[in-house]
Amino acid sequence: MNIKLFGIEKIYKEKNRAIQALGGINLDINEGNYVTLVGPSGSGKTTLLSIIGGLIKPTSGDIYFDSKKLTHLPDHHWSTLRKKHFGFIFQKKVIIPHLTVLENIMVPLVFDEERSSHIQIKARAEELLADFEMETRKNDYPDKLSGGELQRVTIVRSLMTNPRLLLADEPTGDLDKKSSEKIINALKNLNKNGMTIIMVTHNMDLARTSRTIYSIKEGRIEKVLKG
Amino acid sequence: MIGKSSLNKKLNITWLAYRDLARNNFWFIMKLVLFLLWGMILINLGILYSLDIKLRYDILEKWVFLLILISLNLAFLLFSYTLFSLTTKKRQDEFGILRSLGARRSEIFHLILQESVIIPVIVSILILVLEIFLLLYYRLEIHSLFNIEYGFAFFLTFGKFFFLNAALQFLIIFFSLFPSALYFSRLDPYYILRY
Repeated sequence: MNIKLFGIEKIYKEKNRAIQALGGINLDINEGNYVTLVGPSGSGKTTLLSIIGGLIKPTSGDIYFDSKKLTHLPDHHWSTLRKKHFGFIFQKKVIIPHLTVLENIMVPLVFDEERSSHIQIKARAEELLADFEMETRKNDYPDKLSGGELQRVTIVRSLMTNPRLLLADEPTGDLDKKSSEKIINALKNLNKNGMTIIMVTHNMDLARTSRTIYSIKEGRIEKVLKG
Repeated sequence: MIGKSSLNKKLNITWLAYRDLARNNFWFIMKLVLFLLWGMILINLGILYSLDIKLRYDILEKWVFLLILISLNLAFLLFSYTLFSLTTKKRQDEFGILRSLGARRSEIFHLILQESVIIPVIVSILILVLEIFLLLYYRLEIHSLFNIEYGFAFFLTFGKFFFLNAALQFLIIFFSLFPSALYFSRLDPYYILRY
């Protein structure tokens, strides 16, 4: 999935003042690339990631996926794109508390009209859980899991639909070194298998594992650190 | 959208979410119920006490069942709105996850409505059954209030009362749930997941 951004601006309006989060971002990400956006807090990294994923709309500028302009696409088309082609990993480990690990992972396919049978969905979920060494925790509820395990569940969930683009916001967040390494290796392997990854992080060790690093400051791409 | 698998049932009818809610907010709900009951009693006593003895006697004789009906409906309004706020606000993150995974606004809207409507509807049916007994108990007062004879006219008034209350409770459910369901389904997942 090739992604092109032209002059992306985002201005948040709060009562009597306007805050510019992004000021004219131009970016070109080729299929199979592994891109990291680094920068200080409030520099606009997460806003940019959310705009690419269609979670919020830019104030101005254009977004192209595979040469198709998506800027003014209606909300339900963005929903279809997210369902079919995008996977999200959030900094906040958002899991549905009253579903087990296995059920949480199966959720993305509930909203897919062309979904496979329940048995096929379950088989895929179990296969992915085994890949991430989580098969023994499949019947546990989220409150029994550690931070690292919860993050692995969100990664597995984001992979259920076999996305072409993975958007990760601080995937290692506040995890310990061992858990972080597991997640770093998982992301590297996914990219080796051809998945395009765009990640936001403060962690330079994690950023160095990617192929391209962009530094963002005050809503603008300041420099290319790698790639 | 909703199929027959157990997962879909869990997502659609979130008894587990209600169980979770009851477990975490048990004392809050108990306090709310006691508050509502005390509120109902105090309002009624306050109204009665503020009147002179003759009027108080008339009220007790003729209007007390109307006061009970109004109190019941007010309590129901508070109950359905509070239950909705507790369940939905607590689950904002969940709706954000579903939106980020590709659920449409309309799907979230239907999900919230389906889930939130079950308990208020059950309570509404219980209240309506209670009201039938109240109306039967106070049938003499209805008879004297509206100056109508027993027979067809009496049962017509009885029926009107009942259906008026059913319609009122439907409106309470509708207005306490519909605008909020619309609001939550239209929230950007970005804001839900970030903050």
